[in-house]
Amino acid sequence: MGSEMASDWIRIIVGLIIVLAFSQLNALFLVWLERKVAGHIQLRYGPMEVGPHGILQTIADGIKLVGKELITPLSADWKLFVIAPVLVFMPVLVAFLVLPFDENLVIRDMNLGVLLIFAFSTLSVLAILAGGWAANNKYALLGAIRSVAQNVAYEIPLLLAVLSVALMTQSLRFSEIVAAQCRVWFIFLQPVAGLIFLICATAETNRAPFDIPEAESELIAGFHTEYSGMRFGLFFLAEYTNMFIVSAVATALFFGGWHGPFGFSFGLPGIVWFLLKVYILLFVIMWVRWTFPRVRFDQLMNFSWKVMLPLSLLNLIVTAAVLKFI
Amino acid sequence: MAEQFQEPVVEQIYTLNLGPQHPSTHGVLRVLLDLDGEFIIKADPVIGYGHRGHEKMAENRTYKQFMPNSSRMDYLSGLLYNHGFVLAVERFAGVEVPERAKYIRVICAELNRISSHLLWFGTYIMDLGGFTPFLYCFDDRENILDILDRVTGSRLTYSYCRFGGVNRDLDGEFISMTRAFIERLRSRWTDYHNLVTKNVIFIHRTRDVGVITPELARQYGVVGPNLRACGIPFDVRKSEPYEVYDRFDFVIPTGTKGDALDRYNVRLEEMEQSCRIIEQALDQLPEGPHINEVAPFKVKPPRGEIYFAFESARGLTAYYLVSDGSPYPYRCHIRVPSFGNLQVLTEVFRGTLVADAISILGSIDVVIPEIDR
Amino acid sequence: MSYWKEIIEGGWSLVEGMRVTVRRLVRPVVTVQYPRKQLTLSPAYRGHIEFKVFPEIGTHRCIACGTCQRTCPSGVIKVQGVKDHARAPKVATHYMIDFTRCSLCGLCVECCPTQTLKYSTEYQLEEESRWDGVYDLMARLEERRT
Repeated sequence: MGSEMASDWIRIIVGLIIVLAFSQLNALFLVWLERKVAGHIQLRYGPMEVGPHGILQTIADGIKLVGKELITPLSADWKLFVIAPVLVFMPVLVAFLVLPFDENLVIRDMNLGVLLIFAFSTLSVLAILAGGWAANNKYALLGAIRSVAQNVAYEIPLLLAVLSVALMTQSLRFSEIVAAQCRVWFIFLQPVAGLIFLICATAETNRAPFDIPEAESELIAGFHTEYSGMRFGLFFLAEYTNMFIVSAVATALFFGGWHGPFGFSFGLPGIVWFLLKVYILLFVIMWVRWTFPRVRFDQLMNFSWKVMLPLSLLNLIVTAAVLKFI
Repeated sequence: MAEQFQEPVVEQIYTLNLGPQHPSTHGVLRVLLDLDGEFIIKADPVIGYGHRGHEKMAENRTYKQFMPNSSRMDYLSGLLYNHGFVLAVERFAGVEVPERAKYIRVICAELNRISSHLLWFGTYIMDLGGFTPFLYCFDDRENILDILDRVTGSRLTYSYCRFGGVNRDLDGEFISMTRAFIERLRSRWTDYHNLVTKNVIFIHRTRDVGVITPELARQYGVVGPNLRACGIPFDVRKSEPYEVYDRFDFVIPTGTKGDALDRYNVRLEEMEQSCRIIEQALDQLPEGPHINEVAPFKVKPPRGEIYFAFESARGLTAYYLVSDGSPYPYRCHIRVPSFGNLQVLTEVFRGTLVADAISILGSIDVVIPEIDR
Repeated sequence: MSYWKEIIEGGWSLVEGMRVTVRRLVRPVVTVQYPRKQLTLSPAYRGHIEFKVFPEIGTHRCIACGTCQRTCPSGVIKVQGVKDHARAPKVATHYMIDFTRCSLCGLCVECCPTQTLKYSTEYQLEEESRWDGVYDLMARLEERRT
């Protein structure tokens, strides 16, 4: 019993360290990648100075952020203000528990893994609300309000899209969902659900063109207007890690997880396929961000309630009917 | 949007200070917004943060010395302001201008107008949240700046026109560069239309947003592309042709509704018309001197006054000069287009969302230093 | 029906936009890594003013008439000269410009009766104090000649 407990603890600690290290490194890499993609889309180089092709630029930026003073506005609710950046990062870490990187490379393969990820990712909006409210700044408050409304609106079609996948596999366990896609990926069977998932996931992570909570041309920086130093850095890292998580979930649910296309693995290990697909999806999210203008707040809501929700409901009903009668 | 807007509950109104240090107030504009949620109940533009006293400065300088000031009021179309000032003084003092100089001025002024509109195009899309078209425009604008740099020697505040001509002649390289640029700009339109004009998000952000009716435009003295977007084809280049504008064949693009999308389309079409003017001017460019060598060294207009209007990138601009016969103007007043264009916002902002306010402010294309001057 | 049409047309317009950006992504960049690579200056570039050296006499031709000093809108020029004897032409001994306040209009170059002023092509002007922006054109001329 005792040794089992000890091995459990070791598992947890090792897992935590790996997750922390991976999420940080990944966020640093993604920030660099985003700047590079943006740069080349805009016919410029992007970071070039620190390290070869500026690969160490984000590390330099991180060091700068750590060295900066953490300013707390006088009129802020300082307890919430301090907690919010930590709060935003916690659900992000939990989500890594159930992500299926490979057949056997899951920290904990729970039978409710999908549900766990969405349950926790909802928490990040709480942190945004707390941060925006506590800062006692009008722009931050507007950003926080927008963020909550947006997340509530997009959570529902997102879950409905996931539900149609769950209906097909009769499971909420990631490993089973991925295993069901060893021949045909679900994006080919469920194209509408896949598209809805991707759009809603972009909105969930507050990425352009749905980045209205931090719309810099309207609200300066939205909910993190008053944050400085590493507190801002945490919001920033959380955003990129969130992007990674939604891409990873999309890969697992719709793009065949660790499987190669149509069951051909070309001799590559599963984790390579998985990460490859995740980064391709991340690239697409960045590509979208650097192409489109931002949608307006009420149009965003209209789009969710009038297009996304009916479509996802329709998709769910059709899926259910097909499964029932075939 | 207006029909969704309801009379607000008074206790829930709060004031938001938009600017003067806000990323999309283009300079140092401050707008006091009374908000109900995200709806704007009252907007009050506050100007004057960039006041440098150009009009007072003019009274203590000779006409020639005031010339560099003229391009510093509207820094995006400095050459047009320069051009206007020089034209006003030439007409006032009766200075002859050689034909070639007139054409050179028109070519450079129209190039400057394109560069100003391109910059507006980029920053407007940036106000709407799309960052990339901004840099594509700057890529094109860089070309214009290179061309103008080649002949004027500077890139933003040109001080190029002189009483009686311009200070440097065009060369063959300039002409071929300009022709190449026009060709390049025309090849870019498809990309811009695919990226922005046809984009569904963009159309939804601009259609029926910030409608300025013709009546409103007349009341507030809205001019330039904003007026033409309401459907009133008023352009000083056509209605009171100055310089050699009456020799070119171009049309005044107009809109129908006067919303932000119309203003956008009018400006894009205006760039194309400017290209046409430049091409015709290059074809007709006569030989001869680029400056009137016998122009008086010291300009002394006769006692009296002159009001001279011209079309800058933002609309009707005018210099009003009063002379007492000395080499210094007794009074110099500048009628700037952005002032009227900005004041109309108090009416247009009412009942819109904050996001729309940014969109409208961007679509009006105000240059604050020109208002404050 | 227009509901579906709008969704499909709108979606297609977004795809069109993405095609534009991805084509730019694979295109070579147009910017220059500035301090490592530099562009050539325009032949008309207007930097601060500088004395021309006339090869016939080996020096400038400034006669310290003060026209530039009076024409300058910002009043940044100070010029002083001496006469060797009563009937000799005046020769400039001091020529200072405060470049920090110069607006680069070029009126001084144009009004010069002896055409002895020109624009320099220097543009990397970094100084430690505001007084470093005050240039002594005579000293610069001497420096160039030696």
